[in-house]
Amino acid sequence: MGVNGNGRPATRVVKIRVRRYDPETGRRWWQEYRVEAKKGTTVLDALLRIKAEQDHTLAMRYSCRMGACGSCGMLINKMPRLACETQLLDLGTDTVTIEPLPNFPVLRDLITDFGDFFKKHRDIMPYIVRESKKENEEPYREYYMPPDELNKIIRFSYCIMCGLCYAACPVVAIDKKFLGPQALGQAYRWVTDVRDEGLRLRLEKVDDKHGVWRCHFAGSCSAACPKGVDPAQGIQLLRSKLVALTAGARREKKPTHVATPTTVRYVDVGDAPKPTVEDKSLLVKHLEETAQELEQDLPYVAQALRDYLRTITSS
Amino acid sequence: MGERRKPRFLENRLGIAGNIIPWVLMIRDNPERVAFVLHRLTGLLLIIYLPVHIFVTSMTVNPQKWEDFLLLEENPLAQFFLWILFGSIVFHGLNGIRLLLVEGLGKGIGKPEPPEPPYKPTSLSSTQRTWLYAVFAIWLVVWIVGGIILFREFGWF
Amino acid sequence: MPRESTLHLLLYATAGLLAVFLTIHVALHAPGLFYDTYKESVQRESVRKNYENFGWALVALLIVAVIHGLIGLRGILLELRQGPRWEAFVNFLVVFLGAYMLGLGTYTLLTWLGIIHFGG
Ligand code: HEM
Ligand code: HEM
Ligand code: SF4
Ligand code: FES
Repeated sequence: MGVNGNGRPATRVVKIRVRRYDPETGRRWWQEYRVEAKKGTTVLDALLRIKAEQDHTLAMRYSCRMGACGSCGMLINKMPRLACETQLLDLGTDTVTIEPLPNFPVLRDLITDFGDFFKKHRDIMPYIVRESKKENEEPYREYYMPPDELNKIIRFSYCIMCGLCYAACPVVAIDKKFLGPQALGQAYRWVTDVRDEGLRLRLEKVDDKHGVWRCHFAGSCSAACPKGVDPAQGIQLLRSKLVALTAGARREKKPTHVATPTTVRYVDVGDAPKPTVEDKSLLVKHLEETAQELEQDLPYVAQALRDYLRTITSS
Repeated sequence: MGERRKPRFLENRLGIAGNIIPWVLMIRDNPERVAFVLHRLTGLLLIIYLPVHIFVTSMTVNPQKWEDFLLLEENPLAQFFLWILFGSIVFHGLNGIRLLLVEGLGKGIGKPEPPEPPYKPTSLSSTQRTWLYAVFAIWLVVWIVGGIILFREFGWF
Repeated sequence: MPRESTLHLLLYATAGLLAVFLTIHVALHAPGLFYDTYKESVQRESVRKNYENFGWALVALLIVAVIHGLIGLRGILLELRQGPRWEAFVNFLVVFLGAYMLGLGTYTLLTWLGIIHFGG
């Protein structure tokens, strides 16, 4: 067994206790496995090795293995974490306990159901809402987003919907209707977006008995978030905005930087460059020759050239 | 093979324990959660105390009843409760001012800047955190000093 | 029922007022500030002075504390359980407690001020 620079053995056998659940019998139990861990071995690696070599009935969910998809959230040593971003040796304990994420219904072993969580996210309308019905239903151009405005919301758009914040929240723990940190953080993200005009519509969900007011800034969501989204900050900013509105502050400024689809039309992208071949007949001659050359091997290219020829000669 | 039963899914909410016991989950670097729990418990104590208190002070109009009530305050348990109540008022009030700034005015939690590794949440490392430590410190000092003065009057030492 | 945002604006506004009123109220009973001892501060003679001199301030404290405390309590109870019947019960409980406290508190003050006569 080799030794690390810091004098600790490079590999170590770690005891892994998994909280398992069988939906057919309703049985819930702890099961122990032993896995050899070295620097870099993640909890997800260990679980996959257990599944491959020791117990193929162990069920978990994962996809990207690199902290991007948000599928592998678990309760690891009582802390909600991404299994693929947590290294066994970093945890520093000889026994590592792994449980399904709390506050989500357990489907089997470590797999939880995100239905409610996603529904709450959908409830706050996580997309650009415009006042004009036509713009909502038949969008045909982008809206302008200046870089400094993007910087104000980009932190919230890094959310990977892993649900760690939702598992950590002490209010979600008791209130099943509470929108939760993820949805509320996203509500702030969309409400501050300069391209958006959906504040009033979103308030129906946000300014509710189980909306933003149920947050008491315990801050656990932000402490648990693996992406630095800081939902707690978004929620407080959303709430203070609402407090000001209720207290009679002037209605939110109209989004100034919004470029409506019609104005985008007038953005001057300049004229098409001048043709480099001034004498059209030279170009026509060149195209005809090329088309002939390609007739045998690439008939469809030749055809395309002839079509193009027709458009320039007819104009 | 026997017949398979319809799968039952497990409602896995942490419940009241998860709401009010900070160590049901081991979230690191999160004193705000301790403050939340204390704020909730002290608020609950105060709102339970208030109707009783109003009932009790209504006895002041009747000299005899009020004398009888004051006798109750000779009880060490009642004296101890007075100290707990005092501590609750101080904590709830101080932390309440912090929450007023954070929740009501959006102060002390920083600005939403683009996150960078290692992804430290801004709101938990901004001025709000300093206020929180100040709340804990002032609270403990006031509560303990107040306790010494109070219990000395009650002749505990 | 008013909108939730209105209720919570009230919660925050009353919190700010309570920070002032309650500090004064507690200071009035703290040993060594206005009275030498706690016991002296709750003697009937001191209480009489308080009601007669700052009676309306006490009612202001009463109103503000009742509003703040009950909105807070309602929030906690709404988190505890969900469902239309529970919500109706919570709203009833809060209104009932509020009416009780405001009624009894003002009754006490009015009696002290001699506007209502103590029947006992
Ligand atoms: C340190 C603990 C407390 C003591 C010793 C105390 C004592 C008293 C006394 C002796 C009175 C009668 C009037 C007077 O002398 O001022 C009174 C009235 C009152 N107290 Fe307190 N109190 C305490 C805490 C509180 C708290 C925490 C609240 C608010 C939640 C509160 C709210 C009231 C109200 C509203 C009245 C007026 C009641 C009425 O209208 O008749 N008190 N208190
Ligand atoms: C001394 C001044 C006070 C201040 C500055 C204050 C401030 C606050 C604030 C800002 C909140 C909202 C907290 C949140 O959203 O998590 C709150 C909640 C609450 N307050 Fe006060 N408060 C004070 C006194 C009182 C008193 C006297 C009572 C009882 C009569 C009380 C009972 C409550 C309750 C029950 C809650 C709800 C707690 C929760 O939901 O966890 N507060 N207070
Ligand atoms: S806010 Fe953070 S913790 Fe919550 S779902 Fe998004 S990425 Fe996960
Ligand atoms: S597997 Fe995709 S985030 Fe962990």
